[in-house]
Formats: sequence, structure tokens, C-alpha cells
Amino acid sequence: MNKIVVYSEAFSGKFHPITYELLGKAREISKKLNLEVVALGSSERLIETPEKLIWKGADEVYMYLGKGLSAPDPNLHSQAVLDFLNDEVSCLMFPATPFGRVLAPIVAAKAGAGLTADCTDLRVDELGRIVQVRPAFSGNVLAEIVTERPPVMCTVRYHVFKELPEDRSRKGEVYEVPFEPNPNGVSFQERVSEDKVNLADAEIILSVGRGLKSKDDLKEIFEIAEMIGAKVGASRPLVDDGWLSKEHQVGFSGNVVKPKLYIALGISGSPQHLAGMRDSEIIFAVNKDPSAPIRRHSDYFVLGDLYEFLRELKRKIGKGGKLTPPLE
Amino acid sequence: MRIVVLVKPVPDINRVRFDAEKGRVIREGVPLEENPFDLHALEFALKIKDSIGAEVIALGMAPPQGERALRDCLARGADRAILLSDVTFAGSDTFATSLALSNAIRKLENVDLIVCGEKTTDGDTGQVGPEVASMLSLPFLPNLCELREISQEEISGICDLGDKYLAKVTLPAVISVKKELNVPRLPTLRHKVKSLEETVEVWRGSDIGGGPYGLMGSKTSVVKVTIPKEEGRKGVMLNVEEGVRVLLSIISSIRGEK
Repeated sequence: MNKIVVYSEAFSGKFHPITYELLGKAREISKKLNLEVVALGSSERLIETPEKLIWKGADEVYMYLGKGLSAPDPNLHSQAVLDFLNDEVSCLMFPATPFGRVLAPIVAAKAGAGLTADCTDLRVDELGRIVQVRPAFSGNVLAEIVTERPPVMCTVRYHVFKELPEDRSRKGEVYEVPFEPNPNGVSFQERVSEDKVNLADAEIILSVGRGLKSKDDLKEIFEIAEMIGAKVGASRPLVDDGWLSKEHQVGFSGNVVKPKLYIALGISGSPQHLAGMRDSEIIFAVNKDPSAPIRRHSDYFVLGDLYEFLRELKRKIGKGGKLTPPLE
Repeated sequence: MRIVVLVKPVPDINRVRFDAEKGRVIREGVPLEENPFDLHALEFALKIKDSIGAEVIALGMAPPQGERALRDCLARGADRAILLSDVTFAGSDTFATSLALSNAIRKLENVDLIVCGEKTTDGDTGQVGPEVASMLSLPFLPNLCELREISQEEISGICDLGDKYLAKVTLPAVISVKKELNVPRLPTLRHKVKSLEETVEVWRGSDIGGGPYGLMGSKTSVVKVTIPKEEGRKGVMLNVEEGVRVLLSIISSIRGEK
């Protein structure tokens, strides 16, 4: 039986949460095209419960285990994927994580396969082809792409597909494949630890733009962000001026985010910024310029001074910085 | 050291218009310029040239009007500029593009380092760099954001893969760079004047051999392009007091979901 394969990013010692989203989509496609869903991972040693991949939609799991696979060296991991690849693979989905985005093209080029980047939708058309939908031109265009010959390979964005509920009654084999990748010219030495601002996983993002008058005001922004349980984002000018590090930048050339709530304070809404946040569930903007482009992209638009808004917000949150219901 | 910098001539994204009715990208009259991400790759190569000496070759693939972008690389200090331009290249996807670029690199011979930007502003795939590495069977060092050491044999630095990693690569290799790596220099008057006398070499399909390229060599095809209409969010206007109230109730409901 032909297979739809989900590459399950696992080098860090656990499966990247996007894996479960991809499995959900693979399950849906597999029903239409009568395919078997296979989860394929590569890591140094066996991690968490690989059965979870079965409960979340896979029929079979293959874990390639080998030395060096605890680092995100795409040159090594690509060897494992290429070893697995055979004529039965109809479709191979990769996560569009920073790692997946470099692993996939190395695999695809070696396999002589087509590759579609950053898909935001996959569907089966009336000819039984897998149509890959992806944004291009900084998100201004949606292109529908088909791959001429199998395997269809693509990377898929995080937070676009829904994962299936865990079904512990599902059964399937987990195969461990000992693997020794050939060393190549690259060596990953160590993770450079730093305080990571993981905007991609934030539920609430409080972003500031040029409406902020001084770098010193950021202190208050961080305080309020902590009160409301938000991560701090920023538009490009603030990052370019060195007020905040690149990790905080939201936009086409920074982080593309999709939180439940995006709060844009003093951000006018340049195309490059909008490309990074327009898919947020709720967009809440505060701006003193009623003609700011962000207005057309927001669900709620407060016309007013952001400092006045912050004062009022702090006052309402209360003396102890407590929200109801209280933050954990 | 011989360094090839991959440079894609792209339309200025701020000047391209989108016809939502016809599903068309209007590029007419929009000149092609260097993909902004690639300027950081060029700067990286020029820095190597400044510190340990190197020949820097800018290589791109585009219709003839892409010449301007490659000439600008000369004005910024590249030693040679090569434009792959031919009808046989038209309609190439990332696979066919990477095949053409890697065959051009093979023809150049003795290339020690290939540098590319993280992605482009038009296609936005980030695939061509790693595909070229794969086709040339060279190691690929992704997303370099900070340089540590460089020699004729080896380059080390910090790679940004969400988390950051110290990594090194033995040459020959392909490296992609992040924008944070450097600030691209501007063309100098001296180089600009010099670049006007230099020619951008134009290579055709027959010059590099191999293939197929273009639509014939592509593994994927675009079957439809749509231009999403503005989703028309409500944009409910609020004053400061109302805004704070609404915001806090949204936050409470998000927290209540847990």
C-alpha cells in the first residue's frame, strides 16, 4: 500500500508539536487516496512515547536512531530520510520549522523530487492530485501547486492544521532503525543558550511600533505583557534601531505569528509587518492615526494615545497587577 | 579562495501590484533588483575577500533585465557577475533553478564557497541554497547569523535554527546567511565607475550544458494563483475606556479556555 509520510522533527529530544498537526492532515488525505500514514523520525535515541504518533493518526512509526542526530544538522538527518524513501512513498510532508525548511530541500534535490515550501493548505482535487497551497510575494499571493510525479514533497506551516484528538485505542507498529550517518563537512558543536523569545508559541503577543516614544518605555511594556501573560513583539523599525533583539520582530523578515490575540500598539501596519501577523485570531490595535493601514486589518481599533491606553489598562488590571481570573 | 554568491534579481515587493479580480501579479514596469536577503550574502563574501583574500563571483538567473541587479553587485565590490539568462530557463521551479545554478558552478570550477541569502522576497521558499548544496554533494551550513572564525579551510559561527548553535563547516561548502549577520555595504563611487566598464557575463543554457531546465525541468507547476481579498476585519472603533474593557475580557476568555 502506498504511503503518506510525515517527517517528525525529533532532534531536540521530543517531537515538535507540529508533528501532530501534520499527522491530522495526513490522516485526512490518506482517506481520500487510500494511503497508509507513516511517521518518520530521526534522533539520537528513542524519545518520549513514540506510540503517541500512532494515537495521533499514524499507522506505523519508523524511528531512525544514530549518533549525531541530536543536533539539527540537516546533512545528517537527510541521509536517514533518503534511506527510508522508496517507490511506495506518494507524499512526504516536512514541518516548515527552521530545521525542516533546510532538511526538505536537501532530501528533495537528492531524490530528484519537487518540493513546495511553506504550505498553508493541502487538498485532493478531482483528479486525485494533492494540491499544495502556499503564499508567495510576502503573502500577497496564494499559489496552488501540483507536483508532476510522486513523491509529492512539501513543508507545511506551524499552526495551520488541527491535530486529531488522542485515540489510545489505535494500534500500530513502532520500528527502531539503527542508523549510522556518514560524517560530512559540517559539525554542530553546542547549543548557545540564551533567553529565547518564542513568539511562535505565544497565545497573546503585545507588539509595539514606532508609536513608542522612547526605549525606556519598553520597561513598562514588558511589565504589562507579564501581567496579561503576553510575549513582547515589535515592528521592524524598533529592531533596526536596536531597541529590541531580532527575536522580538514580527513581520515578513522576522517572525510569522498566529496567536489567539495580537495587540498592536502604535504600529501603523506596513505590508511587511502585516505579512507576519495577519492570520492572528483576534487583532487589537491602538493607534492615534485613524487612517493607519492596521485599522483595516484589526478586529478592534482603539483610536487614541497608546500611553493613555496603557495607563488605563494598568489601572483596570488593578493594584496588585492581578487579572480576573488570576494568572497562574 | 573562490566564492560564488547566489543573487536573485527580484521585483521590488513594495512596487508590485496585485490584481485580485484577475488573480494576476502585475510586475510590468517594476525593475528587478537584488533580493534584499542576498545582499547580506554578498557582504559576507566581500568581508572574506577583505580579510583573507578571495575572488567574489555574483551568480544569478533571470530574464535579461536582471542584468541591472548583477551590475550592482559589481558596484558593491564583486569581481565578476554572471547572469544565467535564456528562454530555456523560463518557468523554472526551485529544482530546475538549482540545477542550472549548480551546473554553472561546476563550469566555474574550483569554487571553495557558495553563499546565499536565507530566502527571497518573491518566491520566499529558501530552497535553492540547500538544493544547490545537495546537487553538488556539498555540506550545507544553514542560517549563519554570527561569524566566529574563518580560514581557507574552515568557517565557524552561530547558526539560527530557532535555537542557536555553534557550528563549523569544512570547505568547499554552501552557507546560507541571515540578515543579522551583517550590514550590507553600499556601492562605492570607485567601484560604480569601474562597474560601468565591466560586463555582466550572460550565460545561456548551451553554455552550462545539462538540463532540462525551465518548465521541462521543473518538478512542480503552479496551477492557479489567487490573490486573497482583504479579509475585511470588523475594525470596530473604540475609545480608550471601551478598548481596555474589551481587551481585558478577551484576555480573560483566552485564559479561561485552559
